[in-house]
Amino acid sequence: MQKREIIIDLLGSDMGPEEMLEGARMVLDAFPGVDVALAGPRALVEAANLPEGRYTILEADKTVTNLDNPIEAFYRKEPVSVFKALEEASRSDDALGVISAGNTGALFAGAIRFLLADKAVRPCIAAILPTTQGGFTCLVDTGASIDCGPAQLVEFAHHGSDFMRRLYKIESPRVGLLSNGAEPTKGNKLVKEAHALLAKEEGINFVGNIEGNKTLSGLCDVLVCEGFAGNQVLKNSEGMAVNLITEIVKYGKMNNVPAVKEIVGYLMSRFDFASLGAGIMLGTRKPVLKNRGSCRREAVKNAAQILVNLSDNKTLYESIN
Amino acid sequence: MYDRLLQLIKKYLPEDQIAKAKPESRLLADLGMDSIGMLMLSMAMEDEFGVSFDEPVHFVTVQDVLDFLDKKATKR
Repeated sequence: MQKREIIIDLLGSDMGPEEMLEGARMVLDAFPGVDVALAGPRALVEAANLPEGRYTILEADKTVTNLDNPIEAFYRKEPVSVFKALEEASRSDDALGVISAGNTGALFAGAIRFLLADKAVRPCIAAILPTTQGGFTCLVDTGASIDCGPAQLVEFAHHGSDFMRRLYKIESPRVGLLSNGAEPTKGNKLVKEAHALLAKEEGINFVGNIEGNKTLSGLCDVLVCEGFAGNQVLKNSEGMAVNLITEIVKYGKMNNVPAVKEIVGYLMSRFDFASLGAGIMLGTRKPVLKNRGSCRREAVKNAAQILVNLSDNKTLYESIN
Repeated sequence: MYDRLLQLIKKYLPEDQIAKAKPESRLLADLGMDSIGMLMLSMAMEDEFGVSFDEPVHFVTVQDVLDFLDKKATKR
């Protein structure tokens, strides 16, 4: 049986490399047939007492901070963990993909450098949002391309559709276009032009414009927008989820409602972005997953679940439920 | 070489800027290319012109790229 390996960048997380290491331990516990390759300082990994024979070390003790220029970081002489991880993914047949919680720009630039699928097609970063229908919507782009042209939005639609087909087994994913109104005449110049292109694009099941208040309604499987708007949607949704949960907890405490604990537990399982959140780079030869900087160890395991599912061709939905 | 370069640059420009590309155009300020576009352009130049980037190179204008290729291109 072919070896399967998940590559984890240990450095760059706000929570420190120890949290990523614990995430790696959870990956090893959860997936007996999967090993890990850990990009980071050797001494740190060796001190963690991970199961013998289940890990390899990609030795690197430097990271790219938010103050660094991610592209200039390529030319550093000393090994940078995120680039080590991506280089290994490009080289190794065993690698299922890469997980990192470090600098997004460096991860994105490195993924382009080492893993770009088509040199003429710009990749993008997708986020999987839970919907009120119980499923998920792939929001794309969430910040890799702040300014886009209409043809780029069509490329995002293809990337997102392909991803949802593979991960969730949706034969013909419904593609929506983020706009300020459902009618085709609504939107700015970019949205109107993209609408016209998407409506006639082969291989895309375009269902029209989606308004901001319907982004989590499950009306589409892929929601396309330029990176600036996508980033706002993502962060606004996260902020709103946190605010609502906080309000429910406050109400429960003030009025002594025991059921609140159960409700909050359920909501956290659906909307706790610190555990669930991983941006997914689309348009690369292998999956590259970006956990948020402040992610906890569970997020590393959940990101690994996506890589394993993509590799097994299982749906994520089946495995979560 | 200019025509080949121009064709390459156009792949990485916002669509509404493609027609504006001239030698004196500034890649970032005038043509709206971003750092990812610059990275993808430099990778495409490695393939098309046989150049290699061992250190960061800062191109301001299209002409800067042409001057660089004049000196470094191994595929002409």
